[in-house]
Amino acid sequence: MTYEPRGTQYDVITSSAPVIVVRGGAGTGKTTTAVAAARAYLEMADRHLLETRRLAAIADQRTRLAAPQRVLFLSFSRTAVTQIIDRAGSIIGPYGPRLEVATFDGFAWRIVTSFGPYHGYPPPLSVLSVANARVPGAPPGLTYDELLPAAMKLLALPRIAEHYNGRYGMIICDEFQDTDVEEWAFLRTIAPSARLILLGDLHQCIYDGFKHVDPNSRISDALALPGAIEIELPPASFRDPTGVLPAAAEAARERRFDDPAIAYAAKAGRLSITRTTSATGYAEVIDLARNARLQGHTVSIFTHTNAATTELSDAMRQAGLNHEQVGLTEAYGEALPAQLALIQYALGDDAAPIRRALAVYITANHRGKYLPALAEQLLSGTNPQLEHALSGLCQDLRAGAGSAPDLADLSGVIAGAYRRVGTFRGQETWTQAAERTRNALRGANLDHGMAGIEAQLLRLRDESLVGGLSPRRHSIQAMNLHQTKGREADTTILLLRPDEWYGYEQDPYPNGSRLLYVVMTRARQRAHLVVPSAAHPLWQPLVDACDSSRTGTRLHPQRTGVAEPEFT
Amino acid sequence: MPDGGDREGLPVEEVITRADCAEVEVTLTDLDPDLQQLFDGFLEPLDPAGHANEADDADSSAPQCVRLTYRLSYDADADVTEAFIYFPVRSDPAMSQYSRLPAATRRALPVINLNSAQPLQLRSGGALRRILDARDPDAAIAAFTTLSDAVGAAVAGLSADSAMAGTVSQVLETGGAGTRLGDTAVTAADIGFFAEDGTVAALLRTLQPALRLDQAGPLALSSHGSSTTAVLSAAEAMLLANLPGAVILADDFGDQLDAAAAQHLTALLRARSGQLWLSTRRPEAARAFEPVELVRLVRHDGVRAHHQLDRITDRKALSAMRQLHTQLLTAMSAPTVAITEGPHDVAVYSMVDRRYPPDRLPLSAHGVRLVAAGTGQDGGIDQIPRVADLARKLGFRVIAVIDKDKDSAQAATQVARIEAACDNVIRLPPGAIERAMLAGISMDAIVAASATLTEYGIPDPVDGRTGEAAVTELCKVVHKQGLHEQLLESLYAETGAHPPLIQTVLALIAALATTPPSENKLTDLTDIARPVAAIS
Repeated sequence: MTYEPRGTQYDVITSSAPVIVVRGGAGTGKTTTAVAAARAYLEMADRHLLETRRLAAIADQRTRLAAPQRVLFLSFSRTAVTQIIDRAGSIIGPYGPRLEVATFDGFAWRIVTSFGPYHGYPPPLSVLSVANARVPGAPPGLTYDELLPAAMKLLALPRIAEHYNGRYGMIICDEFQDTDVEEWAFLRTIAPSARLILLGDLHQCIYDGFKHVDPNSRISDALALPGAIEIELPPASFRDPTGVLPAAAEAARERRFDDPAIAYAAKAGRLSITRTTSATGYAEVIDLARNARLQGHTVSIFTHTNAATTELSDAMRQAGLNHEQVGLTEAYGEALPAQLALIQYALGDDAAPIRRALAVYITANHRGKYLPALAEQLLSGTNPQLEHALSGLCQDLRAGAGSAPDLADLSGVIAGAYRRVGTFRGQETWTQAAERTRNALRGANLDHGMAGIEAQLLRLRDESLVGGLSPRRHSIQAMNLHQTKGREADTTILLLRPDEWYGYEQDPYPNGSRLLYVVMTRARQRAHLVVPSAAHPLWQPLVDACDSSRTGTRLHPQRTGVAEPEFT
Repeated sequence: MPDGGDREGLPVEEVITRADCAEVEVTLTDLDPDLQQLFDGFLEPLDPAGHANEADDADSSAPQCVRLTYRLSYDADADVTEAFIYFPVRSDPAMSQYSRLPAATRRALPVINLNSAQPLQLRSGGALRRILDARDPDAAIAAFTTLSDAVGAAVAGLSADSAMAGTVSQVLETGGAGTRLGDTAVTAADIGFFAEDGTVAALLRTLQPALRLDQAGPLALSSHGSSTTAVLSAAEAMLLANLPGAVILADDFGDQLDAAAAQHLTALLRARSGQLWLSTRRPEAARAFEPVELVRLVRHDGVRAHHQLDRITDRKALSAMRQLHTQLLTAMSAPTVAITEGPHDVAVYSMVDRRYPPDRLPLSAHGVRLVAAGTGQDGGIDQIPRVADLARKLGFRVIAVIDKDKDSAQAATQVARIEAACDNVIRLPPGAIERAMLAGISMDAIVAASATLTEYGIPDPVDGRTGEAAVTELCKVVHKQGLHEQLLESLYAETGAHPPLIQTVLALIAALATTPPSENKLTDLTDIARPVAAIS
């Protein structure tokens, strides 16, 4: 990727302000510019360090020198940032190893595992997922809510504070407008003397409904810090250099559905509506995704909820469409201990917690305050059919596990285990986890017992739960539309259902409309909306606008002589 | 086979103990900020004793440290050895799970191996190159580029030289070689020369240092003495040791240096490095260290062991500690020390011992070094237990050679203390070293030898007398004047033989040094009568 900063991007890169709030719309290159600023900072710090060392060498002095600087890039979604860092590899260049990317939870977990064992958090340490905490009999561990406070408690200790303060000279926070009070405090505690680059876009704040964030006051807080400056990036989109989709998205966010930008995007085929003919819309989504792949496009598919994503993922899997289900880190993570329990049972451990581990996994695939019925039945043993299936599974697990168990067979039984006892929901994450389990079994030395596999899978579980581990990335990704930020794909497909709930907000949906903006700005080439006959009023005006703008044939400016509006 | 062979002609079964692996764990402390950050994720708090604190309530103000374990294992079935370094804090050897130290981190450790490689090397990784890069990397690159360009130009000139071109052309024309090599005919103009593969790195590899030390002009470093190489290597190491916390490793240091240079360079290395690990056989090198910094490696009865002195706060023990540098360090490479009461004893035994070869083996052949409990005023029988304690803590086998004082409770206590501190004790017959020298020597020889002492400006102590009173007088004078070696020299001239009692003592020391210690530590020697004068 060739990156030439322009306009105020250059200001971000060259500024030495202790706090920079970088504001810019979707696709304006906030992350890329921040990576370039990180490199510029590391180069400058290295030059300074080299000069100090050179002078010390010439003077023949023993000098205790500072460590080479590092930059911490914090985000809410590791996958999203990693995606961008991968593409920006040429920007960060040889400094890549010194740009550390982590989620807030992942970084807090790293602090806790590094220093907690000596200061009040004795091993074994583990992350307690929401699902695991909900199922009776939860083991001790730190819940997500406890991670940041624990890390901050450790950061209050002088030696630990000194360590991180000496480690990072710059901290970049992506999606800064979405940080809550605790995350903001954590951000400032990690390395108080580090420079801060805070990337934000008020238009992309889509968590305020359930995360209690106040983007305006957050940005005000940051700008109130000594020496803080604000830099607004130019509006042109790097993602879609034509500016068509960003302009349409901006109009949609402001609910100006009669804006020519939306009409043009629809006429040019950049923004298209597909009506569902099936009850679920899965067939249409699968068809659109296949066509996009035929053109070599990467595809992101968005649904309204995790549950909807899981169901769609299961349908795509049935249809043979390879994909990755993004964002179900909890389901993916909890599949690993469930599979571990199956291995333990297969190798003769009658006390292996199969029922509970499977119940946790099932719970991780559902949303809601209560345990799913299937999880309840697994724990209570009250469903005869389920008991029969479980019994059959246990027999198969033990069948091949003699004195010299056939690990390949065992891996196969485990990969298919969930299908036999669970609902169909969640098969994708189970399958992804089964790949890890198979690898662990392959590399295991069973002469040493199960402890090695157990430690490995539980470590992977912990890393996954805090966003430190991502499954293999796929050309087709499916996710909840709240996980779309920071991601991009050639083609995006949004599946809308008739019964979706977007809170109590009424027209003109000042907050909800940001979703339209975020979703529409993810696409580099095409944004598809797969809609029912009657979509939620949040979306329906956009659907109507596209419908009314669309003609029978696609409009090609070059052929028709219709001039393309200037969006950039 | 610890006892070294079979006994009573019976075959001894060889017992070999196999270990799964050998591990050495080190704790790195006082970490440079750079290193501390490299070890992020593997840091542990340091306890006051200098170990990693694994408790869950460590002192929050404790500095950080990191543990590294070197593991060497051998697979007998595959006949393969494996060696690696891992972080014990994130590993579980019982489960064969190791968090290995990355090679890049290992290379970043500020460890300088002061080996026998040539100093002043410009090649990548050479000490001089590292120093050069630290001082001004840009200037170094510019200088190398200039060198490369100049060599390129010089070699091009060489190729174009008519004599050279003509010779190459002749080669190419022979058998039509030039026409068979390329798409078109190859001529002398197509042939040039590179240093190795033509890279700057190769060029720098080929450059070797040359020194002008005298009128002989510049000579390759390898043509100079080994001391020159050793001094320059040490100087480079000292510059590199300016890295904060640098650890310098030196094996067999000082072997190529004279005594003064060995002591001087060791002291400098110790002062300038963060930590210095130096193995040496040279007492001069050991002198640069505090007594508690010395670790003495020994092998007794086939068993390897190491010995290190504890920090001493007892005032009396401190006075003995002074003897370390003056007496024990000189013996550091000998397995056994024989401690005498003072320097006169050492002078006498040493002189006789020196005259043993070639007919007899000297004490050094039995691994024994003679030392005095003191250098004069601070010596004496009271000092022997303290020096012996010190010596045994350093792993020496200790034999004391003492005088027999008058029988008394105090003397008995004194001997008991010496026995407790030593492996063996040899007690002379009544009288000090001077009388032992003269034991078994005829009066005629004594009279004649005494007469030679007048050469040293004193009256003849015996002055022709032949009674034991005259011998006592001689002993007093010799002791007072310190004329032991001079008297011995005269005795040798008169008798042509070793003094018999001294010879007995040396033989006994040699025998005790090579046999396992026994319960009965004290050996009392009896006096040797003088031969009766021949009747003329």
